Amino acid sequence: MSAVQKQDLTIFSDQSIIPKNLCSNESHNVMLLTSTAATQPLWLINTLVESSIYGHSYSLNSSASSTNTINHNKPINPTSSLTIASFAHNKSFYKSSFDRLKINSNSYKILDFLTDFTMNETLGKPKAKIFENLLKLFPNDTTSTIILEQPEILFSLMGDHLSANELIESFLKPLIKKCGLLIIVTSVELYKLDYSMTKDVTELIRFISFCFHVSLTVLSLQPLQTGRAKDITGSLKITRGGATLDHLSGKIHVIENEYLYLNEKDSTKLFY
Amino acid sequence: MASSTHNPAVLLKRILSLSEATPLLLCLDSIPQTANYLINEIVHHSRNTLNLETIFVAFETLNKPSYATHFIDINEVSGGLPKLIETLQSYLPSPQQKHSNKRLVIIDSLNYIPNDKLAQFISAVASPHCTLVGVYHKDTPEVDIPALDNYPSSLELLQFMATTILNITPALPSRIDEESLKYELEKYSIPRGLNNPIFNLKLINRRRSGRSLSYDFQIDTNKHLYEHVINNPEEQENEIETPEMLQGLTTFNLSTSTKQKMAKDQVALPFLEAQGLESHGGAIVYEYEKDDDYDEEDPYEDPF
Repeated sequence: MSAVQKQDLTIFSDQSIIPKNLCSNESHNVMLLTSTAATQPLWLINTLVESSIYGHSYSLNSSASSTNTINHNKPINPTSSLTIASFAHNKSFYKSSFDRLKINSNSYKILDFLTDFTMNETLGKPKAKIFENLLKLFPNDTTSTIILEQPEILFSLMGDHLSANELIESFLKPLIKKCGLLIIVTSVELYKLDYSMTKDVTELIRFISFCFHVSLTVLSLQPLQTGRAKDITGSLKITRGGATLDHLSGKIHVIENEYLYLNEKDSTKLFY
Repeated sequence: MASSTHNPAVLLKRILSLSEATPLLLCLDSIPQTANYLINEIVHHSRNTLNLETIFVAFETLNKPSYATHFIDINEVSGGLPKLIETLQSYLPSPQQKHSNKRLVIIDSLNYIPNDKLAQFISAVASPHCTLVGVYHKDTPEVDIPALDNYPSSLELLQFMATTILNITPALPSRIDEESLKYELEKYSIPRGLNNPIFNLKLINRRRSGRSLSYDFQIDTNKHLYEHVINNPEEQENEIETPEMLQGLTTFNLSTSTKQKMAKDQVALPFLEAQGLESHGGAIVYEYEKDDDYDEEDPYEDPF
């Protein structure tokens, strides 16, 4: 593998992963990151977090030992914040991951929606109150970035039946309005088309359909079509979403591309 | 059904510029090809319409488009659909007003309006002075309402009500066929090259006579070009007029040059205009020319 040329990750035409003006002009934007059980998204979340804070990903294509020697630059915008909220991983999971990358702990906030979430947040409460309480935990800052991992789990956690329209109108859209960029991380294996189309399947597909339509770009992590390989974990496909970038100044566009990647013990390598 | 009497692109341009009388313009899109580029095209063509007010109702759209005169974010309308209709109607002319500025209402998207309220919503908004452009995601499943088992689905209902249907499909790159696109979409993976400013469009336009016109186009929104795609080879043969076909028939020159053909294709024929007239049935349209001598007071001067 050492002979393979590593590639820098570029998502937008200004050669960036997250453009500077995405969170700076009162606009609200969404990116979608889809994954599967075989292609976990942690490495890409790390890359997006670093890019959001420092304007560049230092960990991608370098080992953890070399990351230790990198003197991180100052945050590109010290006043803007980053919040990561996960329904699938607890606080220590992300804390240890970001510590390994030497990301300053003042630069981000982790919201743990996994540990005792049902007991603390949902049990015996009406839906409107649950969403109101959750939204209060996020900062009200249109220059901020929020990463939301697997919000679809709320369909199962709510005591009453939760519809996709309620999730979108009462939680996702107000959350998008609170920040400049919302990155929704979801596992697409949940949404296999079921021809019986039960109510639950319908709601899940309505939710994921919304995510595709409002996203500027879709980052799709998929396993190899041909099965398993020692030197490739999967592919990262970058495609346009349903939303256009007309509202942003600077005329940037999404660079559609497909990379292969390899997850190793302490690093991830990206190549064509 | 293709008509040899006019260029379908002229009809499409008339629809996009809101010159045709279409109270409900339905845009059907999907995950691989959004309707946003087509909406921008409608705005591009209709911007010259005098005093046009554009009202954007956002169920999905997050940022106010620059062309929108009024932006209604559904999250900021408390009171549900009745309140939304009330808010919308405050921007629309009353039905009694005969001459009023044209309004364009864009809904993104109609999937969020419950099936049993859809007809009521459309009839409350669409009118001769107000064109309702409704986006509907045809691949998003509809919530099943058990009480409405025998009621048509939202898509069927909208297709029945719409005077013009713009069915958007992606222009597939050569490496992807329909089957592999379907396979990829089942895995929620969008192939590269979709959600593109260049896409395919099937136009269905219902005339006042009840006749339905259907044409396929490839749209390039970057250059504002609309290419009529003829799928039936027989139809294509009939469409092409070659100079050889007209040779030897008469001593007159019947053939047309490329420049003349292009000029001919740009003309909106009178029967297209007649669709917008308020009179029904066999109205005779006579446009007076400057040399016509017509005395309004003489009853025997009626040109007909």
